[in-house]
Amino acid sequence: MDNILNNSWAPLLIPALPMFAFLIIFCVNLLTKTKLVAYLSIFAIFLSFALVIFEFSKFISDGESYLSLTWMAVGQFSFQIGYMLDALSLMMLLLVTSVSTLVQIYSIEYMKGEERFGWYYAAQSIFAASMILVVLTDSLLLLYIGWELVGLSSYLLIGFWYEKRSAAEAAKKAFITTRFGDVGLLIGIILIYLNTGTFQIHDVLQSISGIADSTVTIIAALLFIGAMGKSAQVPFHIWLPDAMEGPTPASALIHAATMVAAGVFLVARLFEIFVLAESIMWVIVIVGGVTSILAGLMALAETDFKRILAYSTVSQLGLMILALGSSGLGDPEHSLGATSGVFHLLTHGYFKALLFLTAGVTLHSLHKSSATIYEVRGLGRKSPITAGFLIIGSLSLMGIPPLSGFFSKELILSAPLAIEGIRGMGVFGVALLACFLSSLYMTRLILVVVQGSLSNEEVKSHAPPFVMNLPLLILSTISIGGGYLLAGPLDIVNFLNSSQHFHMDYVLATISTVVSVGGFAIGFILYNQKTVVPNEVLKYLKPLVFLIENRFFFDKLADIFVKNVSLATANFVAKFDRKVINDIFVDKIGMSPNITGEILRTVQTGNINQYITMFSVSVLILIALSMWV
Amino acid sequence: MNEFVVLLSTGAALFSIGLYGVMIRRNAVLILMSIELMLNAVNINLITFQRYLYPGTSIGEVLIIFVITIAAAEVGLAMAIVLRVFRNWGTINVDKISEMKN
Repeated sequence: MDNILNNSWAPLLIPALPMFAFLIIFCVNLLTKTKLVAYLSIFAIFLSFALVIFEFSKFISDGESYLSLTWMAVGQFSFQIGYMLDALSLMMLLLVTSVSTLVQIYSIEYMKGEERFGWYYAAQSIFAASMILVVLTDSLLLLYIGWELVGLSSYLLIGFWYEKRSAAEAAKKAFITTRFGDVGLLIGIILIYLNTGTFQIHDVLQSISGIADSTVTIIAALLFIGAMGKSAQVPFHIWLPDAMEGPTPASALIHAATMVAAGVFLVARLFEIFVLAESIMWVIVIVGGVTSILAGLMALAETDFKRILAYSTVSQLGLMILALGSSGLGDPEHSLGATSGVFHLLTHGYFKALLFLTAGVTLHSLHKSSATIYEVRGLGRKSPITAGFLIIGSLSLMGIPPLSGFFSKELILSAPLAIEGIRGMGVFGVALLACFLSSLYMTRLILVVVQGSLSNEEVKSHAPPFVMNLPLLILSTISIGGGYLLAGPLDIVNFLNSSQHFHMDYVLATISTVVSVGGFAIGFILYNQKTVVPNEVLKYLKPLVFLIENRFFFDKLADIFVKNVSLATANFVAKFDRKVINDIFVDKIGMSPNITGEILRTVQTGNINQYITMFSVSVLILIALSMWV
Repeated sequence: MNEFVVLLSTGAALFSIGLYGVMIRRNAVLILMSIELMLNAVNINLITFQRYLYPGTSIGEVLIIFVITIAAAEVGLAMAIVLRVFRNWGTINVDKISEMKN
């Protein structure tokens, strides 16, 4: 790398601090219930956050910085470790460390008295550390390592209550489903190495244009499969709703900053590779569009509080992917590049964390790990503050101006318009529909949860404690003002992609506002219990409802796939191993010394005369041989 | 020269008789005696070679003294073993004593 400006060791501490926290908790006592482990973990992640802020200010004055050290060299191959602090990784670091810090502070109260309190914080720490590694590293190999660690630690958190069978199953499902994508990513990275001879992201992006188109297309496809797995795109989305089995703050982290953000981040980080493969860009747009629409529809039919939020995450991720794909297809001169998706990733990270944490507050007061929205009715009466936070998060997600979601959705909607012709309009329509759906399901959520009197004579619970409200307060402040701050004064588009500026297209802004407010209004009419939908309309919608209620059969398809393809292959391999490898190779070869021994043991008579005779004869033979030779 | 051949032939004949005895005899004491024969055959060879190849030295004599000493010790030990064998098995026929098998 030729443009090493100022390489210091300090940024390496950003992932190292939470990792140390993990190791310390791991070595000391995983089963401890003392709050000390929580303070240690929070202290580590907060220091990381402070370091990020420090690096941020350094970035603004000095620009990008890199560090690349050779860890080990084997022949031609050298394994580099280092970091790459550019605008994209800094924004992501800011998101990851801040949300992690807030979630961990919140968890002190939420996980209080939990049997494996220390274990929870250990898992949180390694989760944050591995995600930081993914966004900070400059080497695809290290990125892959971090990527797998993210998968592992989310497995640990989803299956935190592993005594519960459903939680253990959900953790397994998440791990295995994302593994499918990970294999694609790994093969993609290997192909990149074979074609460019380097793992350094910086060098890869520079030399990728010199590679044959067909190879780039294959590489882009494989990388996108990896992103689909982690970012829960159709058909890999099935793990995300089930991941709700974990503790709610862990869900907040998975949905906002760490696990699912990794896929979108990967596409944004390696955007230059994807741009070269136009066909894959279309695949990305289609997958994103299909995901956002299907997940939006499924969110409408879901009744579980956290699962609605999960489906909305899938839907928003679909929108981000769609925007990333579209901006790669448009005129490169005016392309927003990776910015379109990343901005929404940032704002979404904050308001989704807010939504999950408010869900956590309501569930915590009920002493439940999951509940339907009908069970938590009457939140407005019970805890007006929490209800307020919920509404702020929801409105931000809907894209109501001037909340943060409005600005990032504007950017997402402007991306498809860069594609020329009718196809661009089609993609734009899909994105609008997804926005409309998200308004609709969030309206339903708010109406059901906030409204209503206190059901089943609940005692009016005391207000949630300060440690729970503080993160919510910070997150909702960011959800309200963050969008304007990033779009206006900070100009994130210029920050991430120096050739462009953020400019508000007022026509587009009006359309998006109309759609989200329209969704809100229609939702208000539809889900206000007094409204009765006419039967004719219901009859029309029957097939759609049937599909939605069965989750579009994706779980069944996955089931069939696993049974008929994965298990059948595994059975075949197992049989091959048993019959061919074991019976023929291992057993028969193992038998051969046995048989030889059976033959040779007849010589061992125990008769001394015979031994002496054999000995003498063989000595004579040896003497004869030595004379002859 | 003739004397040389005669001496070596005597040694070889003695060794062969000893080896034959070891291979054929069943009686442990007789096997031991045959081994003594072989050792003495070696002694004859040693003194012959010293006489004709290194005259004026005493290499062979020194070696012979060693062989005789060790042979005496060996016979003592071997006879003790044979006695123990007789105590245990009631026989010194080596065919009967095939415990080494299996």
